[in-house]
Amino acid sequence: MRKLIESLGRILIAFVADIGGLFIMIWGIILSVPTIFKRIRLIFEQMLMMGVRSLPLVILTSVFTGSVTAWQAAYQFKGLVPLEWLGLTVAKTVFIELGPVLTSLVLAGRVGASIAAELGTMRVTEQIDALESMGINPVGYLVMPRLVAGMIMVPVLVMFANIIAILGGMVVAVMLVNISYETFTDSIKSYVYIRDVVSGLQKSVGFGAIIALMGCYNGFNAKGGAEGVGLATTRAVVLASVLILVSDYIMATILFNV
Amino acid sequence: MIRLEKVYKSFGTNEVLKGIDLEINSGDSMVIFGASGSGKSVMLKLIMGLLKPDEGDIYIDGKNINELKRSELDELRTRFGMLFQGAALFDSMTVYENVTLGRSEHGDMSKQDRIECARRNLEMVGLAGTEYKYPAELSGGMKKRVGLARALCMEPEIILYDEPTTGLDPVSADKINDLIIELRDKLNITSVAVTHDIYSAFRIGRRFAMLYEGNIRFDGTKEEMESSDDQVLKDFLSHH
Ligand SMILES: Nc1ncnc2c1ncn2[C@@H]1O[C@H](COP(=O)(O)OP(=O)(O)O)[C@@H](O)[C@H]1O
Ligand SMILES: [Mg+2]
Repeated sequence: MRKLIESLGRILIAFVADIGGLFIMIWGIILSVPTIFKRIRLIFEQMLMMGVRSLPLVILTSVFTGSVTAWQAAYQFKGLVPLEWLGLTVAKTVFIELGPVLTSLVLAGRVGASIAAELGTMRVTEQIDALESMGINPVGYLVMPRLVAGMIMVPVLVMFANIIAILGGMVVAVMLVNISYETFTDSIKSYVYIRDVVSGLQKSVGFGAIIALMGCYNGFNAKGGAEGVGLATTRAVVLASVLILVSDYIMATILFNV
Repeated sequence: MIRLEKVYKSFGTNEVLKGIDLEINSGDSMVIFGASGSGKSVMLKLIMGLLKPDEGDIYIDGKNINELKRSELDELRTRFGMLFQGAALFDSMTVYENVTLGRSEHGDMSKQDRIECARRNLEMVGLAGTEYKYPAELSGGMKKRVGLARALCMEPEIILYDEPTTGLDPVSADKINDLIIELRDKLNITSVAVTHDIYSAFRIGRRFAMLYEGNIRFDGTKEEMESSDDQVLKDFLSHH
């Protein structure tokens, strides 16, 4: 019993310390915002790396996301809902939920993990200490550019994913469900609002921040060699995925009134 | 001048430093030795302000570094150079970019001067012409020498060496020792080295301190050390 309470206590202390550490890092990022113009080159490098590294994976996942959405919707609609609503259903689910959330989850595994592994390696090989010892602020130099790049690139990739998912859904609808191209697109044109698209992209800015922050925070706090880097990478991916799903629910209740 | 006063540092339940008192004067060449895991790297990181002491104070030229603002601390750090245990070169950058990063970040040197600075310091460490190589293409000893060139490019008044010769073959190790001696004598740079390599310690040091179980067990010259009858010190010297 005593052991149990002790270990619960330790977990609680570690949790509070992590929250504190995360806020200190966020504060450091805020303080380094004035140097953002000096960091344009680093931000671009990060954006390029995130975009190039993730695009193939994003394309692959979104094709199948769109296809299965169309197929499942058609199956659920059978005998209940006329199939001219198929396009609308696919587009709305993709724009509002599936595009942003699934793409961000994939990116948590791709981008978040690589940020954590890179910064974790820099931590355990003392490269972060070396930056600091030269009077260079590592939060401004390493974290801020990754955060900004994440907040820009994740929505960009989500936009790509949305388009590809809807095309994928359309191919399934036209080829396998046998509805016409016009039927599929008509309902999209008349009932998908700009607001749906924008709210999905707004969410993905937040998801981008979560992915980059979790990668940076866990990488920065990696300790003890290669094993520690592996642990930090896992933590970054798991925490980012959980936070994406939780914040998605919270944002849904704020952005959409039932 | 560097002064540590009653410095304590623990990590969780691991008490590493338990009340360190130590003074290092300008122009000194101080070597701190101690077994692996005795807290040598931690001590250097405390002096650089990379770690904060749990208790006690660290003064650099009379200024308490724990009371400095971030910008003042960054300013102070530019007077220091540090050679890290594993060299800590930035993997994603060339040797040239590594050596001149501090300068280009502080924006106090033109591109032309930076190229010259890299050339001069790389030549000094015997690595002329390696500017466009990446750290992964260099051997352990070469990495350390690039690390030293990187520190030198900041024109430091004080250099901290973390195990400068550990893990190197005898020839590379001696090259590093020679360099440290050259810097000490030619440029009159204050140096603090930590090591468990006694041979290297005797070559580069003028004053010696022993870190043992979280305290400074011994502090003095080579002669004082050799005539000491402290059994712990004697054991360490005979085993390394
Ligand atoms: N950032 C850290 N977090 C936790 N423990 C640390 C940290 N840095 C060092 N330690 C611990 O402090 C002790 C001394 O480490 P160190 O100063 O690296 O020894 P050495 O004398 O070999 O350089 C070791 O037990 C090490 O595990
Ligand atoms: Mg060490």
